[in-house]
This record gives sequence, structure tokens and C-alpha cells, in this order.
Amino acid sequence: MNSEFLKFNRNYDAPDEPFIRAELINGPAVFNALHAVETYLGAMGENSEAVGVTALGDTVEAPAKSMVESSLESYNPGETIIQSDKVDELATVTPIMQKTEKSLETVPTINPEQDNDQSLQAKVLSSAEQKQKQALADARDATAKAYQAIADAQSTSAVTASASTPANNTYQMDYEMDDQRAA
Amino acid sequence: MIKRIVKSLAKQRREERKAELYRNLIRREAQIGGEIFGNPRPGGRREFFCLDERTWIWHEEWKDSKGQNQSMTTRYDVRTDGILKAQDGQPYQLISADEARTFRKAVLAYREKVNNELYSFVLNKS
Repeated sequence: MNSEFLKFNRNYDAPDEPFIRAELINGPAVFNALHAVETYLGAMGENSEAVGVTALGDTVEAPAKSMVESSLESYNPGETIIQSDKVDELATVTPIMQKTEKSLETVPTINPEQDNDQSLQAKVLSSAEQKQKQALADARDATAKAYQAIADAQSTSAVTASASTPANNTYQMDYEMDDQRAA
Repeated sequence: MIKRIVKSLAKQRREERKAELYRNLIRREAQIGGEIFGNPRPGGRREFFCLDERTWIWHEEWKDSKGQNQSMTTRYDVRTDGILKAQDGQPYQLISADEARTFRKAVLAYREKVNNELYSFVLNKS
């Protein structure tokens, strides 16, 4: 219960003292006490919500639990943050995530809106390029074969020519010499 | 002159009534606060109450094994950075972490019990 959520039914004909006490208890007195405890336990590095203490001092017997105490005992602040048995799991997950993050660092950023179109374009382009490259390669092969055929043909005629020319010449010279002799 | 004296006496009487009412309220709070910690020792009495904005009192009375009356009064002084306690003339000492936690619970329980049992007629819980 907090004083901020309380409204006082102040009756101006009634004495002020009950209102003074109620305002004190629901205001500065309890606030100061709680603040001091929180500060003190916080400075000691302890959880101020810890429970399990039964007596105010050493000489007092175990107290009866009030509603507030019971509700405090059912509250374990650690459960709302990280359960202790999950800590190991978290420790094993973290390196995997780090690896993933590192691998993600090497991937260039792509605009998601353009991603699909770009990939489609890339596929179409790559397909056309491959066809074009294949056609060029085929053409080169055909050209090479044609050149090879021409080269082969040239070399054959050259051999024929080289083989026939001396004979012809010899024959022609012989023929001319025969004519000269005849003359 | 007489009128002024009567007026002054009336004012003094009114102030005394207010002070008496204030003390009675604290006595009733002390009884309610004493119930937070369970039953007192046989033949004993326990009180716990808020004296002012920064002072809380815990008073305990009991009979020892020889039947002699014993009592102990502990005064808790709330500072901004911690809580000091003085016990039966001993010097002030900082309370332990366990006692601080118990004090915290006692203060909350005190507020709840006192609101419910004494000041419910001045409080509207929204």
C-alpha cells in the first residue's frame, strides 16, 4: 500500500491527530525506513528482497507471519530475470551466436526490397551469358576447325606444288633444250 | 483580562487533549505493532511503534528464570544511508543485514496492520 494511492477522509470537525499519524505512517516514516534499508543492503551488495528472517532482534521468538511477509516470501526476484538452471544453456548458446554474427559480418548488406529482383536478374543474366559464352566457344571451335582445315589444305597444295614444280621445270627445261637441239 | 485568561486556558486544554489523543494513538499502534512478531514470552509484553519520521521503538518486557521483571528497549534511528540502533544505554551500532531485512518487513507489516485496525476510517483505499 502506498500513500500515493490513499485518500484521506479528512473531517474538519474531527481531531487532526489520527490523520497526522496516518499520514506519517503512510508517508515519510515508512518511506524513510524502506529507503534506508534498501540503501544499506544495496551498499553491501545484497539483495534487499531476500526473505527468511524470522525475528527483529536476537532475543525475540519467531514471529507470526503477516500477509505482507507471506507475500514477500513467495516473491523471488531472481526468477523473473534468469533462472539459475538456464545459465549454462545461455553460456553454450553465446559462442554460437558470436560465430553467426561473425559470419554475418562478411555478407554484404542487400536491400530486401531489391533482393528478389536482383537475384532473378542475376539468374537471367547468368543464363544468357552462359548461352552467349557457349555460342562464342562453339564459334571459336568452328573457326578453329575451319582455320585448321584451310591450313591443312594449304599445306597439302604446297607439298604438291613443291613436289611437282621441279619436275615441271625440269621437264620444261628439258623440253626447251630438246627444242634448241632440234633447232 | 478574564476573557484572555479563559481563552488561554481553553487553548491550553485543547492542546493537552490533542497531545493526550496523540499519545493514546501511539500506545494503540504500539500494541498492534507488538503483535507482528507473534506471542510475547509468558508474562511478558511487547511493543513496536513508529515514534516519528526517523525513529522506531521496540520494547520488550518479560520475567526471567528467577521471576524477576526484565525489560529491553531498542531504538532504531533511520539515517539516509543505514539504520543505527541503541539498546538500553549501549552505544549506537549499525544493524546487521539480517536485522535490516527483518526491520523492513516489520515496518511494512506495521503499516498494514495499523491501517487496517486503527486508521481505516481515515483511509480510502482506491
